[in-house]
Amino acid sequence: MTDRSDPHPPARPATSPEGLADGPFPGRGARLARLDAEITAVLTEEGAALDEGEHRRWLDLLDPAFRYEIPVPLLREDPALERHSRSAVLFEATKRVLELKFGRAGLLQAWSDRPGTTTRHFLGSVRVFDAPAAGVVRADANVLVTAGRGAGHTVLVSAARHDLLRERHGRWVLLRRRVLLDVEVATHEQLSVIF
Amino acid sequence: MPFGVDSSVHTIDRRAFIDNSVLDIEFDRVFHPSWQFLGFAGEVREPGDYVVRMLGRDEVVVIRGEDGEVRALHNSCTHRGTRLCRASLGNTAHLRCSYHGWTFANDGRLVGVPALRSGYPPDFDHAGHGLPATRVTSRRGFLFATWDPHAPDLEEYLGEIAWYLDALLDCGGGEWEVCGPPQRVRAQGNWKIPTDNFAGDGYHMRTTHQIALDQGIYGDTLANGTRGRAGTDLTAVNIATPAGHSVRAGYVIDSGSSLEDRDLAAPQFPGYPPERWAELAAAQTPEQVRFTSHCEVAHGVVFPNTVFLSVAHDRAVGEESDPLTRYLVVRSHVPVSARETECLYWTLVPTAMDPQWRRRSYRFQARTQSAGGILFEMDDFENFARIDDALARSAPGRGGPVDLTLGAGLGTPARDFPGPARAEVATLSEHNQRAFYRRWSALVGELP
Repeated sequence: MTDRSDPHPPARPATSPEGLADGPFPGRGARLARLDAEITAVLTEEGAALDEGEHRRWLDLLDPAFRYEIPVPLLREDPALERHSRSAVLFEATKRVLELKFGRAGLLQAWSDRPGTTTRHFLGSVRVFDAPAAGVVRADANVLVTAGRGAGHTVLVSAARHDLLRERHGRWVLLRRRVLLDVEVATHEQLSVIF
Repeated sequence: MPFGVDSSVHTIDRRAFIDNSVLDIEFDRVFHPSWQFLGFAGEVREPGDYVVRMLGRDEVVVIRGEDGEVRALHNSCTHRGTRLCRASLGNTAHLRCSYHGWTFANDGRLVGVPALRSGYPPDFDHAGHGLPATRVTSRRGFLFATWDPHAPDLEEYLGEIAWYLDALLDCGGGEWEVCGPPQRVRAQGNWKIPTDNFAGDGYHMRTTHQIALDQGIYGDTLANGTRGRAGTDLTAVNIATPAGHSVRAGYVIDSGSSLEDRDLAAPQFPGYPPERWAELAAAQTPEQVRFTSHCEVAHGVVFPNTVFLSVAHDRAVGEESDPLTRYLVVRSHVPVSARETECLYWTLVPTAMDPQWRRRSYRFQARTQSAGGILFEMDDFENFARIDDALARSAPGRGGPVDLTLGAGLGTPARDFPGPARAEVATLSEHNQRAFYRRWSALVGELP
């Protein structure tokens, strides 16, 4: 089957940072190697906040317009074709939805969050590129995440992660995150992870 | 007594959910004679378009031939049995085996055999080496298939459930678009566990999904909700057919009222734009309106392993300005083993709605009850896994059989209900699950 783009993508002015949070994910601009170390440090702190259960700290690293998406992986015959859907998602969220997710943690009936899951985000190969809006960069990285919950087994999942970061009030915040899973059909435990 | 199910269908042996020898029997006796859902005709729109899906034990290539016909072909070369398609979707005129190069047209005919003239007997049977094909029927774009040449045609197989499926589709204006390739996830637990959940389990909402309710993701439609609908109740009607199909429809009605008290002169379709309600009503028959009006949620099963859900969410999972918005999702629960199930999700949006509404509908599904739905779906997966964990860690017979007595003998027939089959008013009932397992046990029969 064909995998068509959203036939009605929202209009977006190319120069608005908020406009980049929706619609087609912007391509890579010029390579900005001088920012690799700085952005890696930001993403390292961000991953640590997730792993350490510092959810408020993590949410504070998100722009109000933040959007998170996990496109549907597609196993295609031709390796030159895109390996993730341009329109279908396994999951999609705004900052508000993620606040609801983390708001569950302290609640007794959050069955899938109790007992809690220990995650470890291993981040690598961070490369920073320009993005088509002032003060916004794109950071591509590899992530390996482990998630352990009890004696059963540890879940392992690898993915490419594409982030847009925006400089706001003197610091970098996440404007958008796209997670490209390496596995075609993930387990529900793998999809429980916030990448 | 048929395997594992007592005559009243009040209990089921726990083995039915964890034993691979039971699954082997199910493949032969439940899946083989049934029409199973493969996906949508819109997924294979052009000649050569294909997707790869499971049909019981067998992997099939669902492909549109050059003649425009959609077929489901066994994904295995008729020479050595090699898997032909490794990809899960694409477009091709031919399926060529990677081992010795046997080549099949996209209608399943064997059209190429390397060294045919020099290496094979002159009477080599081309026609006899085509790819086995199932029966396929497209109904309103839904593709169903069966291997059984003796199965009744699809319309007869669906029976009364077809009326309810049509009503849900017609309620949205009649024409629907499938949103992209399906979401897929592998979940722990037997395929029947999530399937019986969709058949009619309103009982788990207040426990499994208490947080989702407390967080307001059903917002304005939540009966007894906190967003302006206090003073309403959810009343459910359970409809189950002898073929094991079912629907559970939940209606928002004023507290103390009954279904018959709905104002059908001014039908309401929660989750669709109120300014379109009159237009949507006009596109339905009066009987369909009596089924769909005031309906907050409708879910059910097309036996054996296809389920559907139409429900509305609101701004809690969207933006503050977002109106209540409905989505319709169709799912297939494909057994991977007795203890693991692949769930495929297709979200459908009515073409009658504007692009912004359609995008919001898909997003609300993705944020809640998608394969990665961390606000809702994961709590269901959690319970399915807990069931599997405990059943697999139990000695045979420990803990007694699974109980299905909720609402037994307590439902009252819905008066003047417009659709076919017995409709029973009971907000909390396992009426539909009993029908599902009654059909299942009739097919499974006795274990050898």
